[in-house]
Amino acid sequence: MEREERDEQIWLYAAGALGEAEMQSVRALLEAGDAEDLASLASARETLARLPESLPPSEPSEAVLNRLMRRASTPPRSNAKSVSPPSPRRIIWPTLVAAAAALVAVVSVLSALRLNSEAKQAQVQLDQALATLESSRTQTAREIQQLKNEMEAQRVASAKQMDAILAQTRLLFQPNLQFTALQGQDLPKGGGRVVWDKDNRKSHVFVFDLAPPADGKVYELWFIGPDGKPIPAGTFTVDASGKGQLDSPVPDGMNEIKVAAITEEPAGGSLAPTSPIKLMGQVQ
Amino acid sequence: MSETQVIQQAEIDRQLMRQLQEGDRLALEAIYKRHSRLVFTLILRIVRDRQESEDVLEDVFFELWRGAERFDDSRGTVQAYLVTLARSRAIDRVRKRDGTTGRRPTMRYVGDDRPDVSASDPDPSGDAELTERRTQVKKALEQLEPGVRNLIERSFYDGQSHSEIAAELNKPLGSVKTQIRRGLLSLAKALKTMKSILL
Repeated sequence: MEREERDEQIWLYAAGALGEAEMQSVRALLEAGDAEDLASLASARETLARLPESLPPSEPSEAVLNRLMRRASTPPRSNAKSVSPPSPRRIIWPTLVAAAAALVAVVSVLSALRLNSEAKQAQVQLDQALATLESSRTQTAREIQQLKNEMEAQRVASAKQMDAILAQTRLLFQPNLQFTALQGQDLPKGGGRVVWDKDNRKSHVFVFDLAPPADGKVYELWFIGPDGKPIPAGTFTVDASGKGQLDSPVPDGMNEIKVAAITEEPAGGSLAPTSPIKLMGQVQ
Repeated sequence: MSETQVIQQAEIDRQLMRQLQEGDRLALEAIYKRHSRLVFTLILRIVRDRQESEDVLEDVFFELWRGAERFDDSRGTVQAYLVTLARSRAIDRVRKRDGTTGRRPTMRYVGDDRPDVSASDPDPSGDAELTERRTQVKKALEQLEPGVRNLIERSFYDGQSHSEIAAELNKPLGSVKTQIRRGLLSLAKALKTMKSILL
């Protein structure tokens, strides 16, 4: 086919002026991808695309755009082969009916697949939401349990504190008490008291402003009798404010205590003092 | 509108189409707003029923959205693509509605189906460029012999083949083909359709 004839056919094809057989022939021609043919088709289409500009313009209603944007809520297809604009070919009715039936079937299948896909997606999202909820529930339960533990610890601590206060109060009501002041030995500050409950052969030591013992160390109480030999009477430590307390029975066989003293010893205590005296008091 | 402006408009359309192909709904809305009036005018001219035309218009732009990957900007402009698509879908709608394959009887616009303005009015949007383009096309068409213009309109708007036109007008087939082709080439020359814009 000569160039001029090809152009004529292509222009008539673009204008929709060919019969079905000629349409098929031109389509086959264009599928060969000859650059001049494609340029001719593009030129024809650009010319024809301007024809409607001569018509009295009409505006569609705004509802069309609204409907369109609602329909366009799903993204366009992608990764498909680029093809030319649809050909202005004539429709053969049986072909159209068959194509429509096929299209309906495809649309139905696609709809079913899409619904199935959407259902699966919804299920996944639901599962994720449930997992998040379950995680949150577990975390909340963990936090609640932690709060309960803290409250129980505080209750126990408060109960101990209350018991201690009550014990101290009861102690103060004992009729036969003796007090000994403990003085710091070469300490910038710090001191204490020993309350002797002679009737019950118990001592109650209270210290204050005492620095916490070094790591791995504790404070140890010593009773020293007339023979000058220190008898270990128990270990204790102090809190952050420097306060500490120790209740200790008077050892059996020790009828007279001359001195009460406190030293810093390795954890677990020592049988004999291994460091200089921190606090000391003469028992009157 | 200058050649530069035409190229700029075509480039804007290409950019919007690229965004649309990536799933940008705002690009679809922008393309709709740029071309819906022209496309609707064409569809209404073919379908001649406002409600049906709006349905076709919606379908055309939805097809553009769903089949965005089919647009190849090396093959032509967005306007040409939309006009080709809209013309095809509008003729399909008429054939389905009327059960015909050839030219329909001439109809007059009635009631709401009448165009918003007459052919001689300036563009209702007040857009000087659109008015200029419209004037340019009208002048180009007026340069054609009325008989040739009629042949082009029969094939383009009414979907008649050259053989159907030849039979209806009792003209030689070759003469119809030649007149249509020459008419279109004259039109292209008058409109200065530039291949450089397209390729």
